[in-house]
Amino acid sequence: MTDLADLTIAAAGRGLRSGAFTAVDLLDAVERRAAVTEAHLHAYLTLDRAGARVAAEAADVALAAGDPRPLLGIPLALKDNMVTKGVETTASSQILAGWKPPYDGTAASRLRDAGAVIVGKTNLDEFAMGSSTENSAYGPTRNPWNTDRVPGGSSGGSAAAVAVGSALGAFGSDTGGSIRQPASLTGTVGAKPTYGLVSRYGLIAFASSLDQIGPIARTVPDAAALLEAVVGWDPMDATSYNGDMPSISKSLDRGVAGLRIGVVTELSGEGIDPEVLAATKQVIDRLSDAGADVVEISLPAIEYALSAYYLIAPAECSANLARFDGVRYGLRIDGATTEEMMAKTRAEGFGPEVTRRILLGTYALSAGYYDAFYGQAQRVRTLLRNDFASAYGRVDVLVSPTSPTTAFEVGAKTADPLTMYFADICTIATNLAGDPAISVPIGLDDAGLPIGFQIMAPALGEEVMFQVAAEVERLAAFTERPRLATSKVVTP
Amino acid sequence: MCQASRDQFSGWGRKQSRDGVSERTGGSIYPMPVDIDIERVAHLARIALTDDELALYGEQLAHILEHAERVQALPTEGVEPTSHPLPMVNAFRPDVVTESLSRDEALAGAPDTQDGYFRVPKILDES
Repeated sequence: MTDLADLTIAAAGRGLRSGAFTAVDLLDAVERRAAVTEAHLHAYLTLDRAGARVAAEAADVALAAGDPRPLLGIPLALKDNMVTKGVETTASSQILAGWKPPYDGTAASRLRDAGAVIVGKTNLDEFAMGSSTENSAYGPTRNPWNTDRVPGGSSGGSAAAVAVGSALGAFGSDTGGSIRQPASLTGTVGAKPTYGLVSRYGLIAFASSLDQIGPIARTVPDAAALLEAVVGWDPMDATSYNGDMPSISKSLDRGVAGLRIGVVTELSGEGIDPEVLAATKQVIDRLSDAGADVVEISLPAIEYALSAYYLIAPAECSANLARFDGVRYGLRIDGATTEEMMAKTRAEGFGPEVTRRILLGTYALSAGYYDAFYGQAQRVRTLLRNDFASAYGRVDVLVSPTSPTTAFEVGAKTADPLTMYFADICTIATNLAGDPAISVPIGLDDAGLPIGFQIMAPALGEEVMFQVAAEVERLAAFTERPRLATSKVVTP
Repeated sequence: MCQASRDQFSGWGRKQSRDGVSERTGGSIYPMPVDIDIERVAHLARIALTDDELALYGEQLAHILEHAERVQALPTEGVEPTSHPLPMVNAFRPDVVTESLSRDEALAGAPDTQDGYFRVPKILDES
């Protein structure tokens, strides 16, 4: 018999509506799974048992009354940089230890309005800065496929929870690949929508011109359903998109016949693990067999994406994280003057990677350097957007591996900060362009670790992106689950 | 074939990158930072670091900033900077009074408060 924690969101929704089980049953199954797996993974920072119970009971009442909302009663996890009213929110930083926000972010409140059950808050690299979830002040998250490996990051807790069944779906944030790369490393589906599609109100800001909230799920239709629940203009976020929302799940069954698919030359060779490349190539061949018109596309400016990103992101982070000063929330270390208090608080509260990026950004924005660093990086961003625009004149979507490697070992890249930055070479360009992209699992490497396939689309091109993603999912037929998810579940 | 990853790796890890970016940078109109005054940067960022930490971060920043020369070497004359990817200029919302946090809620997370205000140590050091 299938454990309820292993159901897709779609299947769980059908089961709830048919009366096969209740939302409380579903929550119990997910919490039982967490009770077994958390000792190995540390995907969660906080489990909101009381709040989840109340939400599940309310969902059961609504279900009994025939309420049709698709996420009603579905247990979901939120990355701990998404603020939740009354539930501790730390962004994995000491500086916010114990903080209970007085409000819900827009994504959280839309999910509550959709009847979802928020199980808890997941671990991340501190303030979402990192690619392995090792930069958490509360300890790393492990990969459910092999606990000696990282789950990717920064949304590693959300990805690990979904992979192992301690949530049916989750949300993360993606600034340079922080949803897609952990999805790739954990065998889950992760989507970064077009910049502005999901409100950033209540997302603890890292780099405001790049940050986007998006879903992580076990299937492409599930990811689409999650995203549909949170998109839309929000008066609380002046950068949220105020035009018509693109369709997301309308074309999931349409296949790829007649679509033009571009393979990104610069992400198809050296620097990418051979097994990852081979798996990617196989899927591309199948897409071609399925009727897609596959061509190779060069994006010359992508060569500069990583360098531009590591000027823009630290610059914006240094401004955003100025708010953590020991005055209004979080940690305070006493000092003789306010300035001394602030400097001591920030030294104590921020971890090394966050400190490094604040310093880098402060330097890049300081007098005399602003235009040379930030201004120039923003112009390079325009060059990159021009490359993408010209590519999308010829093809409907672009494809590449999501991550240059499968999951690496815990501790392998922590000594030199630069080596960690390369983990995002395939994902960063779409953040700079503001475009949507999704990672879909396509197989395992020889070590039994998942490989992800990335599909990129032009801004507001979610419909065709999910259309191709759904076909990739069908063609790859990836049904493996991590061993931790299939181990005998102990009933407490 | 994979220019991006190869050049990115070489450009980040070495003083002289293989593709000759360093050479091109010689003609850059921008001043390249030779020495970073890390103490000043830490002060601007309001982070109290020890001498050892200053030395370590100073070294790491210089190393990381080597990649900036790649970006600076690109000709971008007449290129407009991108700050927002969608063609949105002004974002208006109705100018109406809506509910906001109460004072107690706003103060609830503060490390120190007094009489409905955030309380901080003295601002000016007059000693």
